[in-house]
Amino acid sequence: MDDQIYEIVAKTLNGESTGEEKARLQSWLNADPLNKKEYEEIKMLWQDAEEVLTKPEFDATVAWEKVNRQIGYSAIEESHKRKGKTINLSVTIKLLAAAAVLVLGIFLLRPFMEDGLKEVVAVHGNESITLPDNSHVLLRKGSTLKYPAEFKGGKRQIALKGEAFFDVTRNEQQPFIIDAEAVEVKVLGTSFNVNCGQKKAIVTVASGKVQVSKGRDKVILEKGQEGIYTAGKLVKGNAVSNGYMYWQTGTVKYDLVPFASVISDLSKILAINIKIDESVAVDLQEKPIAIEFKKSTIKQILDDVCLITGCKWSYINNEYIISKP
Amino acid sequence: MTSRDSIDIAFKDLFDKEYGKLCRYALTYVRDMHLAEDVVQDTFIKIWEQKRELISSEDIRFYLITAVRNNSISMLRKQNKEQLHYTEEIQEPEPETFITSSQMREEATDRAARVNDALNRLPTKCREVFLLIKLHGMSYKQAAENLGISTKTVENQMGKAIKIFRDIAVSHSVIFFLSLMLREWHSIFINLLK
Repeated sequence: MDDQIYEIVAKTLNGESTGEEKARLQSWLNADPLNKKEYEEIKMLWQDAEEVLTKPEFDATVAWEKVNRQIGYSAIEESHKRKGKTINLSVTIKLLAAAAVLVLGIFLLRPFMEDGLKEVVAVHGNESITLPDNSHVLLRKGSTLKYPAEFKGGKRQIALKGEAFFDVTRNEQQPFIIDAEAVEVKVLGTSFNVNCGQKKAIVTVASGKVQVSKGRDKVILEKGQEGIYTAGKLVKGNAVSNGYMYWQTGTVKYDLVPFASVISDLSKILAINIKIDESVAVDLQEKPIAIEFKKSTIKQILDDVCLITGCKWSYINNEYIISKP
Repeated sequence: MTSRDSIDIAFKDLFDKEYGKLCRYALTYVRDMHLAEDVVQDTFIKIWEQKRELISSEDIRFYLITAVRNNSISMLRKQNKEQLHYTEEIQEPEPETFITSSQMREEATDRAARVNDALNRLPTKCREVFLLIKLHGMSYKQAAENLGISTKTVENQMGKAIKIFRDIAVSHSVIFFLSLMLREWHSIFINLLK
């Protein structure tokens, strides 16, 4: 009996009860003032639950950009596939090709297998890795790191695809070398961030000295400097912020950095398009600002930036635009 | 407007409307905001790639909810497996309450804490039914169909949920709790006299 009354209470609170059930609930409520009090308490907590279930908030705008990008890729793949279907290879050729790939694969992989090369792919989140020389690597989600089980010979050679923060144990006899897709990074012992792709790379130094090279070009970077390789050129400059911390800790800090530089840096860190509209006066764009973000959403970041600069922001055509109010 | 465009728009609308809710739903399984978002985003992408014809149908919402649930569960399974293999490499996740995020915890009022307490105590099946109805706003019949159970079972599970809510509400109200106890003792006492 008792349990049945709770089923009726649930149905009533969800608008599912029948006339008969309503009557039964009513007579239960009338039977004892404590029943009534009990019902009120349940109802209150039940309504609170509705409110709790609307939290936490998720940023659908940022998420949509990611999904949209992904969908864009798959549309391209699809059109490739469709084209691919028109070429009809005979079974023999396919088998021969498969055999050739297998032989080539074994041939190419053999040196790696002998070296006992390890490959770590950070699939679900950032991954913390300790290398054989006790150097520490924080590998960003989605990135890949390859390294040997033991560093032999005159150098410590590893390979990175994507982004990682390195804290390298000092060993002057055995330089630490990263094959970072577009560039090569060489250090003796320091800490720095590497973000690399096939055509672009950014290396930012947190402490010590780092050498970045592309073919014969090379730059030597010190604390607070960054080396950028893009459009076939390698240049050195001063890092505007500790933006490489953003993917590790969700924090970034600007210490009296011109407004416009803060915005272009944020664009880079957050991987979104942010622009300052022409309506914003040039001297305001060049005004140094000090601001810090800790695990803020894009909305909160833009709100804060606008608050201290007296601007407003809007989101139009996949772009965040900052303008005069 | 071509049909391709109208599907694009329907898909974007669906995303805007359901994204937050689905993330909160996934969060109850995977207990990590980033993972929850990954699961929901992947589900949307898969639907676009494999079930595009469903997007403008009425049932898409139910389909999405089921897909997010299944994908969350398989994500959990995958993670547990990986943790067995590489325990030394993967950091132990912070123990999370039902609704996570530090922001939430900071502003959690006493009432929200009670709700969380109640939600955490719901048994798995009961919680599933509860979320479909309270979070996704399904009717008993829709929830029953979605989970492949009878409407009677849904009624049963919701009764259970209410009872857990009642226990928590009561235990937080001391005077009320005492008077209920007194009433029970009283009836036991009377039964003994009979």
